[in-house]
Amino acid sequence: MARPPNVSAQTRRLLAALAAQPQAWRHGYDLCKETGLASGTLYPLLIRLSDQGLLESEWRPAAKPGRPQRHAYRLTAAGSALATAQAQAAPDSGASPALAGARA
Amino acid sequence: MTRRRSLAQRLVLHTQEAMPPGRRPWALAMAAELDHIEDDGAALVFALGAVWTGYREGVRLWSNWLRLGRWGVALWTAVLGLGLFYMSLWLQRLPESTEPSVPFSTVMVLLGCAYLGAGWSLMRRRLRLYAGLVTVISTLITTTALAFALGTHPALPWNFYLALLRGGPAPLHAFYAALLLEQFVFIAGLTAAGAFFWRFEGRRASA
Repeated sequence: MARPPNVSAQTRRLLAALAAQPQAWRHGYDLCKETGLASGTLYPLLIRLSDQGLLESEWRPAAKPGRPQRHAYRLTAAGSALATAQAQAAPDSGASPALAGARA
Repeated sequence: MTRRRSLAQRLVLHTQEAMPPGRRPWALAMAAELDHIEDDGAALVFALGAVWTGYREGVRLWSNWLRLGRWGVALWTAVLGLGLFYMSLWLQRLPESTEPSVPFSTVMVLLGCAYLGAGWSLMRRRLRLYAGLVTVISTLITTTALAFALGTHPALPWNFYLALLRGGPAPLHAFYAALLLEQFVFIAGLTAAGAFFWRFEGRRASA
């Protein structure tokens, strides 16, 4: 039987990180550090969530003037709902080392 | 600029080549993100992940790989068929067997026809015809190859099949019985692999 989509531990970790600040635009490297996921894991997840309509993205100016724009991401309404459902289904499995430290 | 930073930038540039055209914006996103990573070591690790992402997304376009594989196998099969037509002329020089047998050069011609037909059917994605012809080819090849390995006249194993077809008592040697069983297992595996290959390509093409 095929595993249901979006239930891997890495996906839940990413969803939890994005859902922690649902209105904020997040950058890829910041998500890597927060979730503990390597870029080779994070970006395929971001691509898949975007394809599924759970994630929206846009280019945003960098915080420091003179630096190039950065691609930023945040959950859509559907993505937020999924993140909430995943958090309720497995409350302890979505914690990343960075998130666990922040909560402690 | 350090070597690690330079390598990281080259890797991210390569990601844009590896990424499928529809995913290029993501490659640009990863390239832009690299500029905001202060630590060169971290940038290199990030760039390696970007390359992995690029190739992973590229490999997901399996329809391209499967189509290429199918045509490659089909063309190779057709070339083998042509080679066997030539081989049938060479085999006519073998001494005739004293036992009644199927002329071996005829077997090679039939094998060549089967190869050409299998190649054509695979190009046209006709799996049933391909599976049937593969069955014929596998039977012919395995029997002939083992005859050569045993040092016997290659026409002798065919006496076994010929006797079975005529319905008479077959000179059932235990070795040939084992050979027949092995062929069925081989043919079943080859046909199953071909079916998986054909269905998987069809499913990916319709996705």
